[in-house]
Amino acid sequence: MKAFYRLLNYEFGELLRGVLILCGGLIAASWIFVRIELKDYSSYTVHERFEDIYSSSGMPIVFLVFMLALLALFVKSIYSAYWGSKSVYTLLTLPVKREVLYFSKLTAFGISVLLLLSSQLTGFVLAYRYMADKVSSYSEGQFEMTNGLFLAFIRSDFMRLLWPYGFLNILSTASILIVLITGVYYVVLCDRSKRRLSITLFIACFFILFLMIGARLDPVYTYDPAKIVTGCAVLLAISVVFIWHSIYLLKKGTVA
Amino acid sequence: MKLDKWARLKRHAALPLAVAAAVLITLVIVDVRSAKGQGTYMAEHLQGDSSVLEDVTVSGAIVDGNHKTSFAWRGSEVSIDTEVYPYARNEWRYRYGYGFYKRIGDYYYSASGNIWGQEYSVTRQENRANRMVNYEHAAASIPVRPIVYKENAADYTNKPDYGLAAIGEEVFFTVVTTKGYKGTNGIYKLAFDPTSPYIPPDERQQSSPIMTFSLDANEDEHTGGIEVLGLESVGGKLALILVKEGALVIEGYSTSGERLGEAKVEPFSLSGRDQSGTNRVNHYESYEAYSNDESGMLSLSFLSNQSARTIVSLDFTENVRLADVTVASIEDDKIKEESEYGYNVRFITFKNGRLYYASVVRESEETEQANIYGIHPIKFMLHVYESGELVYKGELHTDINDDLIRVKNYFDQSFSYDPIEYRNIYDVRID
Repeated sequence: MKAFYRLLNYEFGELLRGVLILCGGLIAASWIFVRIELKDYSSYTVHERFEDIYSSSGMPIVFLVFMLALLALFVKSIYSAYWGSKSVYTLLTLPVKREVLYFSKLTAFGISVLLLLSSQLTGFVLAYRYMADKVSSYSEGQFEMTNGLFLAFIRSDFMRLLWPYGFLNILSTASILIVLITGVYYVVLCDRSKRRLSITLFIACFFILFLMIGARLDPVYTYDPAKIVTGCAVLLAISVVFIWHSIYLLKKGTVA
Repeated sequence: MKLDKWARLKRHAALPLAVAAAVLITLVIVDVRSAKGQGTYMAEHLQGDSSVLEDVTVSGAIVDGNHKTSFAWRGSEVSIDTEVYPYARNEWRYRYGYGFYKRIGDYYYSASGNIWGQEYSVTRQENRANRMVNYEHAAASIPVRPIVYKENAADYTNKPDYGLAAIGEEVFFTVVTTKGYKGTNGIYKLAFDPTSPYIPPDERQQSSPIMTFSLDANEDEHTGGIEVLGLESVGGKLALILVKEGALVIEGYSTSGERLGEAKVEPFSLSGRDQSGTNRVNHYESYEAYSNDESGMLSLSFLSNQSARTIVSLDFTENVRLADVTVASIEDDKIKEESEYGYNVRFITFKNGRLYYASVVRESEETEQANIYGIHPIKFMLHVYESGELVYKGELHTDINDDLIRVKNYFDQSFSYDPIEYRNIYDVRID
């Protein structure tokens, strides 16, 4: 356990600077982008709902970019062990089980994703407060949406994707995140151990991700609970394969 | 030295940051989700004494594609319960439209007649997840014939589905005949067969009458004749709605066809029957019926040519008793009722000697947008009448019109009130 804790902090420490920059950047971006979108709002303009402003400000795309940047950071952190100090050799000779090595890195990734998500949430709420303050300051508040934050959360398909309602949707969001984290790690391990054919599995799961996220973002016409259940099952099964094969590769030492 | 600090911080950063993020997320999500009960639901007494609201519950639900808030208004208190749908949906919301499917219980019925064969057929289906399933069919041979045949046409007082009523699993049907029919009408108990797999006609179940009545009066020019407006059910009993000899007659029957009594409203005339040109009150045939099975009260609402409703309430607890007749008009220059035949957006019932009338209305304002339907604010109003006089008027204030904020300062003529994005009030009921 102590070894795991130390390794986790070591791995997380490698990511920390980048993760904090991304988190700060995401909060700043939601503030700035929503502000720009609201620049001309006055008593004579059309007042869109906050969730629509958030979408049209481009924040969902910005979040996607930040998420990809975080995944890139993971990839960089794995490869960096092979560059310069070649710390991978130290890691592989540590007197700990290879599983511990694997899960410490995976947990570090998981915590990073959690931090990015909490920044998205913070940014959303801050931007909402900014709009609520601005809108309440003129026209006797006739453009104020009562209980608007709650409505923004349930009326935005993007927010429902990240902050789901219902067990099935929570499972679906969790599956998406798990398959991304384990998959990215797996792809790099496959690359290092020259088993590039296995990368196709990661590419294959993009097909399911595409369908599932599509259904979650356009629920009225494409959401089918049975398909979401199937999607979750397949994604989680693929994640198990990723984890099992990653540990197998680490144990065989082919990643060196 | 600064670098050292950073290095030391890094050594123990993972868990505190993870916990901090988890706590932040939990706090925000719990805060947002508990806000589901924070909408505005406030009863305002506009006129009269609010003591008439004692022992009365006015309920309904505010619904959009993402959530549903059920409310119950008792006295000055309003209690609410919000359900957030796990995913946004476009629920097919039943609103009775004239000639559209008639919903009774879980089934959607449609009825049609074939005057040549005197065969009436009723089909029903269930709606599951926006799909119609379990088609079933019943036929009844009812020996009524038009006195004067018309080419490919038949007259009815109402759409044939007005003749449908159900009590539990039993479904009853009568033909809504005009004065132009002869023969013997009756209340038929329908026997439904599934439409798939195919059942040969001679193996299908037969529908049989529980009572019959003669239309002979229609052939005698000296009597006023008999017109059948429809069949309703209330508290396990059937109500046959007739107009004969200048009176509205409601006859009560048990499910075995036993006559329970009748109630009469006189004078009562239907629109277009009297050619003498006198300008008296007459009513349109397509009434609305509101039955409360628990209290055994049936209220029938007839729109009249005076743009008011004549509401006839009947007590079916023992025999059939005329409880009340009220002429009500809640519309004025500014208030318009939501839709003429919206059963779910209006409910009328008679209780404790008073007539309660809850209705979703639209408030029209004098603006340049006034001609766009759907842009007018929605209000939920309750009117209470006693001995025909308005004794109370109240309104339930909600946030529903906040959904229309985005159309302020908006000048597109193609606005439509999309039930996924805009809230509506449904399932209105008074108990």
